[in-house]
Amino acid sequence: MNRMDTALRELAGMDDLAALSSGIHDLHPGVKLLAAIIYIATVASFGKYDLSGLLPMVLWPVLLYQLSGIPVSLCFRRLRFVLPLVLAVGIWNPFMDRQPLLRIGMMTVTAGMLSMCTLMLKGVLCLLASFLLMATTGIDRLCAALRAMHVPEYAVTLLLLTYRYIAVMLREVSVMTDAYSLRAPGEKGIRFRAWGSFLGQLLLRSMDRAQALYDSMLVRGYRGEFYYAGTRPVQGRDLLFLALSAAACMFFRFVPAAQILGSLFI
Amino acid sequence: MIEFAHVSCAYEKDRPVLRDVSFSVQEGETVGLIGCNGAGKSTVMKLLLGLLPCSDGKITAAGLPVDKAHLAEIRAKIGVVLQDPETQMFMPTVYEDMLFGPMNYGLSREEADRRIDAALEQLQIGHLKHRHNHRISGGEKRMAAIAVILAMQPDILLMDEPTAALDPYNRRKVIEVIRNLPGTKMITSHDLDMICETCERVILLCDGAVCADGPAEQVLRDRELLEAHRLELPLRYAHIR
Repeated sequence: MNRMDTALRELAGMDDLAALSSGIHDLHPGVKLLAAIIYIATVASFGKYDLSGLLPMVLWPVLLYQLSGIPVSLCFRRLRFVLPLVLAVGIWNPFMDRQPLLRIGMMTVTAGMLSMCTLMLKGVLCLLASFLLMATTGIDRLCAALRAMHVPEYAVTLLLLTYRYIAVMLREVSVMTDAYSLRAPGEKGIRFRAWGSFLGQLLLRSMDRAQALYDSMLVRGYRGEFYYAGTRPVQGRDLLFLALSAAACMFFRFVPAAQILGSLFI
Repeated sequence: MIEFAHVSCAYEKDRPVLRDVSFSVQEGETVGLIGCNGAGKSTVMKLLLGLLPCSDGKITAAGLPVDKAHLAEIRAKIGVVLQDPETQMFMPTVYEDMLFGPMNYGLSREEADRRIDAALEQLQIGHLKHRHNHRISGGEKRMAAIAVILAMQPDILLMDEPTAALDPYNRRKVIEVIRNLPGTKMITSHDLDMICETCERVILLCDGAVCADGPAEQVLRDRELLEAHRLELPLRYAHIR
C-alpha cells in the first residue's frame, strides 16, 4: 500500500469517526459549528503574552474529546503534517523579542518565548477544535448546517467539492504512482524530469474525475441543498450545549482562572 | 419517451462525436445502444441528461425538450447507472448514497427507506447497506451503483455498461432485474449477450452516426454488419455462418 492509499484511508476514516454515536455526535451540526466558531474566536482573542489565561481553554476540547469517544492522540496523528506548520508560526519570536520577563532558576524567560508558546498553543487548540467538529459531524451535515445558516449555496458547494476533490486527487495520485513505480522498478519515488508531466496529468485526470463526480450529483437531483443530510430541528439539549460552551469560553476569557487557582497555592 | 432529432455534438471543433443522429424510444421499450469504443454511446447518454450541450438538433426526454429550463424536471425522471461506479458512489456508505437521490427529490425518509430496502432486496445485496463505499469490491460497488438508481424508481433508466466487472452470478442477477423492471430502458454495453437477453431493439452507432436500428434478433444476428463495425456476434449466435 503506498502512502497515498494510507492518506486516502485516513480521509475516509473521518467519515467512520463521524458515523460513531455519542452525545456530541448527536448534537445539531449547526450548534456544533457555532460552538466551534465561538471557541476558536475566543482562543484567537487572547493576548500574545497571556499564556496563563489561555491554559484553561485546553479543558473544553479535552472534555469534548472524552465525551465523544475520539482519542486526542488520533487527532495529533492525523494532523501530523499540519502541526509542524502551526508550531513554526512563533518560532522566530524568541529572537525578535528578547525582553526578560522572569527567571526560573538559571534560565531567563523572555517575552518572545512566552509569545511563541502562546501562539503555538493557540494553533494547536484551533486544530483540536476543527478536527473534533469534522470528526463528530461529517462534511455533509456540516454543509447542511452552513446552508441552514444562509451561507451562500456556491460557497457551501465549493467547500463540499473541495473536500471530495481531495479524495479524488489522492486516488489519482495513488493510481499514477503505482503505475509509475511498476514501470520504473529501480527508482525511489518519481524522477525529477517526470514531475512536470506527472503533475499535468494529475491535474487533468483529477479534474475529469471531479467533473464526473459533480455530474453524478447533478443527475441525482443535487441543487445545492442537503436534504439527504438528515438535519433535525434544534432541540433544547443543543441550545444547552451552545449556552454552556459560550459561557465556558466567556468565563475563561474574562476570569483569570489559572491565576486564581495559582494564588490559592502560593 | 426519448427522441433525438438530427443531433450533432462535438467536443472539439471539426471533430464531431455525433453526426446527425436521429432515433426515438417509445414508452416501455428497452433499447440497446451498441458500438465499438468511441462510437458515441456515452455521449448520447450525457446529451440526454443535459450534461453536454448539443451543437445541432433537438433532444426530447419524457415529453420535455432537454434544455436548461427543463433539466431539473427531466433529471427527476431519468435514472442513470454510470460506466464508472467510482464516480457514482460519492457518499460515505452505500445507504447514504442510496438516500441522496430520493431525498433530493423530496421523498420522506420513510418512503426513501422503503425504496432502498426494496432495491437492495431486488439485487440481493442487503448485506452491503451499511458498508463503506471505500471498503467494498469493484463488483459490489457496481451492484450498489445499480441499487442506488433503482431506489430512485425513475421513469427512464439509462445504463452504461451495467454488467462490466461483474462475476457471472451477479451478471445474471442484473440481467434478471433489468428484464423485470417496468419503464423505458436504454442500455449501452459491449456485452452483446446481455443486450440480447434484455433488449427488444438495438441501435448500432458507428463513428457518431446510427448505422443500424432494428429488432435485437435481427441486428445481433448480422455477422457481417457487426464485424464491419468492430463487434462480434453474441455467443448465442456464434454458430451462425
